[in-house]
Amino acid sequence: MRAQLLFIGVRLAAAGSVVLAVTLLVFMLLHVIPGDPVDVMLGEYAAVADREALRARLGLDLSLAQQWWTFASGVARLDLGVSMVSGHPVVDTVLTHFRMTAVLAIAALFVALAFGVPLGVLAALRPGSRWDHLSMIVAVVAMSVPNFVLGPLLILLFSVALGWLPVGGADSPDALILPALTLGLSMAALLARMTRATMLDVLEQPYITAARARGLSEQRVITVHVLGNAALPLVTVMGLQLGALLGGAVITEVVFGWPGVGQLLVESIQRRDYPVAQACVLVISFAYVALNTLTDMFYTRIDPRVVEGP
Amino acid sequence: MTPAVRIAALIVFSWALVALISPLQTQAANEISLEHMLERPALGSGLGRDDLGRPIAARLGVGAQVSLLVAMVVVSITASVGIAVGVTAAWLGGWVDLIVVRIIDVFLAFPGILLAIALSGILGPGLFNLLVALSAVGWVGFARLARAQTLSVRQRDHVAVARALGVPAFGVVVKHILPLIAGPLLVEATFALSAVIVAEAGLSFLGLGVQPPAPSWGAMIRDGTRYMLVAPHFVLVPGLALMSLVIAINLLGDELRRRWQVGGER
Repeated sequence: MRAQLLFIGVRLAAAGSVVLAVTLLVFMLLHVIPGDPVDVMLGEYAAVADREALRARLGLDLSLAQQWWTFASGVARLDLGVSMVSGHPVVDTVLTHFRMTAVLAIAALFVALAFGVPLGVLAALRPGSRWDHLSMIVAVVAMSVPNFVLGPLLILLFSVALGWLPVGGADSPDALILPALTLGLSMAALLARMTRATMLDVLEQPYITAARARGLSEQRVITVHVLGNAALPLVTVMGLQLGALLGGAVITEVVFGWPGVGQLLVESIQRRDYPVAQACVLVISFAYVALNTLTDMFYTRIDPRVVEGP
Repeated sequence: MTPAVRIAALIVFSWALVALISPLQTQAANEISLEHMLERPALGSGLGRDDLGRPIAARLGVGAQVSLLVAMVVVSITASVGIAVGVTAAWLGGWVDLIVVRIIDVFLAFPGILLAIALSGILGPGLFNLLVALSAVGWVGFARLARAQTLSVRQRDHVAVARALGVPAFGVVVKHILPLIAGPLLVEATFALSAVIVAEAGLSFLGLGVQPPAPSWGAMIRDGTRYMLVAPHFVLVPGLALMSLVIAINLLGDELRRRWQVGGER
């Protein structure tokens, strides 16, 4: 128990330091990178007075250390300033959009589970068979198709040709289906491959032979003994992938006009609304770090062996 | 080699060929003719035309060149930098290694393409900034892999012997470590190639990459999505092109990985 608490403490401290470093890097994006954000925002031919006014408004006339302090303390107080376009507080806007991204990511996770695990299990039960080869080729294809290709393909099929589902937006519940499929299918493919590999590993373990020797039905061996033990690596992959989904969500949201934090990021970049863009990057990476940390902690719960070590 | 791998190699080779001869089509690719706007593909007239009546086939060729060139430049840069950083960190160990690992952790705290989007958003669109953004993100994978691989082979006997014989550190790394870790790095480079192709197309799709009128597969897909109801070929053709190239490269990467694993488990 103490070892577990210690492990959790160490893990939280590590996550905290990464969060701090992420904040620094996002700060540097805007303030240290060569080139003047004011130039990019106003164009090179803007009047000097306008440029100085914007510079003062963004706090770019202060020293770098002062700017960093303003930014970091702002992050700590959940105050990231106001949007340069709408004038609304950035945090409110970003959190509203983040909720939509979370809905999309969770739906995509369900898609991945529903397609990936059965495909992997079936492939692992008959390794080397034609079905195994076929499902693994399908998996490579699904993993290789970028979201911004799969999305339009699904729209062409289900919205344009069949007319079953809306092209985009978030006005009705079924508008979630196509974005979730787009985002979830590549993860389903990865999950299928992982499920297959882990199951093949577990099937060779002595305790599986023992379970069979005790005369358990094949169904019971597979569902309880094999899947139970294969769950740990799969949970890890899923946790890490849920984080990666947040990155993929950016483009998927743009394809479908899903009002999440990714679409907000791209819009705010196009409008040169840097405070909002900064906040979007921060929120997505914080969520990513949090998910990775939670995944780590979760698998120490289901497999006490992990705590061994430092 | 399975038939799938052979087909994959053929596809990659064909796209490389298309990219090589594409300079002959640059003029045709940018020729606007509004009377042919959104013309569908037909026998004898190629792959149809886009919203400005430009031939999609020619634009696809020039786009292939952009795509493959960007991928090769970015992977060359990221592989050299990443491998240098990773091997150095593992070789020196101590606080250098600690700092490198921390930096890698921070870069890995940004999911996928997010950092590239943020960077190219701040740097502004354009080919050069695109290269900078993709390179700044891509070296991490190589550094992490090179570091782990170096750690696993640096204790081997032949390395110790070489050092005892007084071979300078650089010589040991180049002659006795790099050849041993080349396989996994080559596999990583293959997947990095397809990842960069997707990332370039993705950024161009978002309007952050290659700028019009220069053709890019990503930008073509974005323009195509606006006309899906009237001209589905406009999004289908560049979409399928991108898919074929990426799938083929990934299949080749899979094959390389399998061969390497078989060789490594002897």
